[in-house]
Amino acid sequence: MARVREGPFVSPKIYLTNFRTATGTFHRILPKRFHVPVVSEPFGKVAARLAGTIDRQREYTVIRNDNIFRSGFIDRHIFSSDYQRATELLRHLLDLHQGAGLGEVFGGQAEEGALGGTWIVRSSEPAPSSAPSPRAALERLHQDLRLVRGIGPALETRLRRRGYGVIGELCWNRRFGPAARDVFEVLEEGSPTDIARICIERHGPSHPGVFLATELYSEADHLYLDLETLGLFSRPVVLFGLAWLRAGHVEVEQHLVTDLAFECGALDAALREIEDRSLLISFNGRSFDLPYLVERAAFYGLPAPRPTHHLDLLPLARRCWRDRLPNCRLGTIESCVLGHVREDDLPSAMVPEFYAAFQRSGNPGPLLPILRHNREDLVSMVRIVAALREVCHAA
Amino acid sequence: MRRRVGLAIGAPGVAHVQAIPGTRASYAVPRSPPPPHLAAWLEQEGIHLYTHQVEVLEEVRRGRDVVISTPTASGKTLAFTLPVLERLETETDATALYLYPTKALANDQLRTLRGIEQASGIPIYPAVYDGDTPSQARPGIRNRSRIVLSNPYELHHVLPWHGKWHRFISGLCVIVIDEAHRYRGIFGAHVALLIRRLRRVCRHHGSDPLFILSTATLANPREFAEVLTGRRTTPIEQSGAPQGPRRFVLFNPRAGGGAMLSDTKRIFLDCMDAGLQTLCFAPSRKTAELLATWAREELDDPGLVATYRAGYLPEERRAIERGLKEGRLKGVVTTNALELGIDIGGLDAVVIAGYPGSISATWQQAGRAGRGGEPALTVLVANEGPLDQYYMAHPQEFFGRPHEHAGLDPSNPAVLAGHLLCAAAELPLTDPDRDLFGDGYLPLLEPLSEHLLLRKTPRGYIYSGRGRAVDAVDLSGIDDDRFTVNAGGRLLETMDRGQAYREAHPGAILLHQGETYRVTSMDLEARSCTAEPVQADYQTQPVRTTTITPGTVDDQRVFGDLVVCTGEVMVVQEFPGYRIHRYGETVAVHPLDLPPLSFETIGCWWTIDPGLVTALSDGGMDPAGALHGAEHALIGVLPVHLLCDRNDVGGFSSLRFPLQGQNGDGLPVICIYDSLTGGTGLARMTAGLLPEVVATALELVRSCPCESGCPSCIYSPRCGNGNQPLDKRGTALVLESLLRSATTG
Repeated sequence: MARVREGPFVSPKIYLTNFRTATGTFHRILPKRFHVPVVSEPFGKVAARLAGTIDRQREYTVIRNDNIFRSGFIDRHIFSSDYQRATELLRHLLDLHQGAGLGEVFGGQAEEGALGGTWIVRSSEPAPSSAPSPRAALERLHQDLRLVRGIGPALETRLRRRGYGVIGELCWNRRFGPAARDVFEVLEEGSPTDIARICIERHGPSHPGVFLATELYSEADHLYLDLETLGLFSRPVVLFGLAWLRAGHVEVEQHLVTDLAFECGALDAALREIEDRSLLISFNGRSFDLPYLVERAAFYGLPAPRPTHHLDLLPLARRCWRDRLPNCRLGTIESCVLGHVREDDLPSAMVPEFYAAFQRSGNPGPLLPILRHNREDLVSMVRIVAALREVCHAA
Repeated sequence: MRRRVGLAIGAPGVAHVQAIPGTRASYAVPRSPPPPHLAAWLEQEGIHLYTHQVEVLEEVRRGRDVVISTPTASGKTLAFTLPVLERLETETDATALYLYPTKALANDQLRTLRGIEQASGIPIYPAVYDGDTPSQARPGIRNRSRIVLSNPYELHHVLPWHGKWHRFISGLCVIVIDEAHRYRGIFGAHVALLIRRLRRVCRHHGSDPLFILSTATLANPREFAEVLTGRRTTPIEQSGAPQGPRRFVLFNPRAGGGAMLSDTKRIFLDCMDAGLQTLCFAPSRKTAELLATWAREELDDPGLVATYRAGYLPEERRAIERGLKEGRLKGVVTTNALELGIDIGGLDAVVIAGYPGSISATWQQAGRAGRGGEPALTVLVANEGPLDQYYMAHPQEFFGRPHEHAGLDPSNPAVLAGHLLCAAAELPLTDPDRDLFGDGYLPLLEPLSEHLLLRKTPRGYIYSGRGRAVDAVDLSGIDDDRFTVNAGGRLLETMDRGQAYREAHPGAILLHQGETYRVTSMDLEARSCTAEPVQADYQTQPVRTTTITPGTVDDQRVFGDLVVCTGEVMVVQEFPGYRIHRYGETVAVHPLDLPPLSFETIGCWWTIDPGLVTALSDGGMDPAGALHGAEHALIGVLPVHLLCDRNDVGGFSSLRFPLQGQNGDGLPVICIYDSLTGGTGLARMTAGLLPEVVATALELVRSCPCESGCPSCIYSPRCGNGNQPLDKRGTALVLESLLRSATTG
């Protein structure tokens, strides 16, 4: 079969026309080189149908009758009363803010610079009166003999009985000297990251020592991060929530992506913030926020974020309060530990629906609870750090 | 012990006996020797390479894609594994992906690869990565394995995580697609686009893997492979593997006055009686059980026959394998669907009840017989259907070169749109992606953006939906417009809307795995049907009227005076009622209240000379029945030329075809269309092969001894009009006239 084909291999469709026929050759009337199906109408229908399919997807389960028992089995769930409330809230917001501009609804301003498409909302509130105490933290770390390789709980008790109180005193011990000197050196001269690494190696990621190591950073180095996204994986980030402490205040800076075309720009800005500060603090960021950022950065071909030090509060909180709390969700910790109950909070699993409502209508109303939810998350993280500080120093 | 079975030419029912002589092996040596470990392994195993295996190796060394379509049991696995091993031994970072259509096949292959790894010492760390892979084993496989075996369904869900697979994807040098002929029709379109997504991700991670495909024997392996992968491919069809001699008997119960099942049982018993270990393929689970029961009743020792079906536990399989090896079992009955999954080595005889639907499937089943120098026996017992009867009447067609073309159409917009979203969720869609997805994707960008599923950004189009893109795509179908059928709170099956209207309307009798159910209610809103088990001595069939509105013609084929148009068609089907059949007779018609079903698809159509219609009327024939019969006959023989099932296409014929403003407005017409929204490629391929299909259909109608049409020629089991009207004499004249006009000029 003779085939006339030159140039790059573009569309395979042409082969479909090249079949041998027993009864003779055929001629193509249309001298088309490549096959572009000239169908107009179906495309709209196809898109509409796909949109319908995707709209029906939910990454959460609504639990009927608020059955607490069932919530234990279902990972991402929303109680039906909350779901009901959120649905009503959405309707209400769409009514209330019809025709309003972004600034009228929640203040803030468009991102200055070339990229655009990002709206920045800043707010500030007094921070809990608690500051890192590096000296005390270091002291506690020095007292933890088990940071030395080879020393377990039983041995630690024996060594204490024999008068060893701090690691420095072990440095000239015949058996543990070399290992103790290594740890001592890190505690004295190593970075907080190195110290945290030793704590994680010896005690696991939820040990108070992991927190104590971060006490060595000044508050100016802290960056709190919380993302709101269109899903659990491989979808755009719609809100980059950032916070830090300055002059006794929590400064919250929320980068809202009002046009997904500019997600990349907002992502870039967030990555820069992470780059600029040594300590990144998140709640469940080790399994969600950070991998999500890594994936989005790879998607856009941006360099992956590499925070100098990342403190995930979830494992620490779990260890501290597991026995007291039914679960360690942020909301539960807020109400049971921090004594703060959110009003009309938007369940984070419903963020995508609220954002979609904004996209469809252009009405900024539905974004309001997303911003509020995100800000509360950030502020709570600051409070959790303060609470953990108390617990860890006392441990 | 072995005696000849009384199936000689001239015996009642024997339509044809083909003696196929054995062929000797032809060996070859690679131009340059394989690397040391691989060479040592080949020597240690005493493997001499067949010519086709060396050809594959040399082509891959030259950097060319290959499709191997040599017969069953010709050493295809070694043919594609050899070049992979060579690359893996010489390049330490190289990796390979093996794609299998099913999990079971991947697991079988894993055992082989582990064996090779151990014996050769080439570090491969082969692993199966699919839905059954435990999550704690997954990171290890991603970080270490050099050959990963998977299936398209898993790949579809893995691609969004390509970042985690960087090591594997960036080292990817070969992608093996085994059993590639299974990726045809709509499933094929999905897999073709999945492959394009994979190629795109590879490009991003800096690799450009070669493809090695292995298929059953096809008429168009090269075209098929090139559409599937979108790359130039070299076909390798000549096998160097030896083949034992074989006697192939075509047995037609119709000619001997018998019935398929009872004749199959008799032949099965005769074979075992003659001392032959025999495997019998039955068309369904129920018939397999039936055949086994009948055979046991006539044997002194019922333990000599076992049944085997999919879903048996490994121990049960092993017991059957052992029984055959030790000679305790003389016969095994299995379902037609089972082509692989059990290692029963070579048997003496294979009896196949009913044509399995394609020549390659028949050979695959026949290939189960044959060991040593003794001739293997295969008996194909025909059923009443047109395909079976066609081959009984034309054995030379069966034993000639393969006639079946495999096809797929990755431009189906319904399929393409879903994969575009997945691709845009994996990496931004940019201009260079046009060479992967074709120009057909451009007109989709705007509507998808309008529905907020895509967003144009400075870096390309990104996925902006809030659900997971991969969840919106079902690889085996078109969309989520699927109905469930439940009985007693249990899910029986799911089907698309069209099938539900045909088979699960209220009152329908539904067969499910040999059990009979009656559908009691159908909820169109919730897309669910409820059924209850019944003992029914009747069947149901919907009354269906179809109207076709042709849209834009995008291709025309001219064969002599015959012009075949291909293009978009709008199909509207109405279901005013259903018939109740008892013993083949319509005893009642009940009304149905269903909204009409409409879908856009691809069809091909051609007009019929109005002079012929006049001539038919003048000759006392029914022109409408003649066109209708020709439509049925053409669709009936389509699987001779295309790898498909007759249900994959629909047909339409009319004496007055409304073609607004186009040539042929108001003329008689026959149309064949893809039965799935957006098209599957079959109608397009039919257009290109029409003269051949017409010739085959004519042969079928001519050679059928019936008077006025029967299920073996122009009756269709799914006809919406209850096979009315039909005119067999007129059918032959219509087909003759078509063939004449296709060959003149």
